[in-house]
Amino acid sequence: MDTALNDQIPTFEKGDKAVQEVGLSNWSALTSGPGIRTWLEVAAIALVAVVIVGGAELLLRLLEVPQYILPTPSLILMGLISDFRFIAPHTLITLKELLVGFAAGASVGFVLAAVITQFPFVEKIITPYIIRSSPRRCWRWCRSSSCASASAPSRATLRSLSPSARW
Amino acid sequence: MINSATGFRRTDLAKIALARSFGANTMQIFLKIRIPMAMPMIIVGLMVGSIFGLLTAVGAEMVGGAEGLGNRLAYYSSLIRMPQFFAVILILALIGILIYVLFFWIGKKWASWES
Repeated sequence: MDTALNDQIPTFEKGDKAVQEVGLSNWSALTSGPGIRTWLEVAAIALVAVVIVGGAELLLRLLEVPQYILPTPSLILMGLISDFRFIAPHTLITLKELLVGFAAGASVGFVLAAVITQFPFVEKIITPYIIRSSPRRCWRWCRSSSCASASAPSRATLRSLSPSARW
Repeated sequence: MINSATGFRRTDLAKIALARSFGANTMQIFLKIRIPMAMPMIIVGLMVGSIFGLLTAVGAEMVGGAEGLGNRLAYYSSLIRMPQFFAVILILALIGILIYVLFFWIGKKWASWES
């Protein structure tokens, strides 16, 4: 099992490693930048929202955009308030659907991930069905290494699959 | 489904890396070390998955649901009641932001050592 883990799994996981890391670091860069310190900054942030919403309101009024194309923010807010009692129960239903689906999907995904990482054979079989692995990459992976031949791929084989060639 | 796929893909990488560095001996140690190690990936996967889930839920409601916010969207647009239509979109956006904030908070609490 040790050798199997060593040799097979990085062959197709290597490709989107960079993408994942970029995604993670990007999010952290977005969210945990220089923290909000002073009230001035808070005011500036609020000001941006005011400018955007107010600007939209003003522009829509000035250009006389019909209400059925794009209503002004004030109209939207009024619509939200006036129809809230009709919308609220549907919001709850959607939230319930979301929770149920999330619980089902997350539990299945978690168990699947645990099983797959334990048994390389299961991984081989399940991987083609996983949505995010594109057929092209799968095909390359199959041809290059463990799917086609029973022998483990050499280091040279791995190195020859440069990131650009894999996509 | 997308949720599980994403979660799995994210989980895999960190898990494998750690399993290899440890030699992966006992099942018990295996899981106990791998799961915390993969936690940041798992949380990110859950976040992405749940936002995709919201998307698909609303889409399904728009097409074939008798209730739910997607149905409200179709209803209001068919009546050309645009303010209410956009109000529903506003609520959906709020739900999406809430999901993001929730998972960001969870990630900060349970997976603060990475990212």
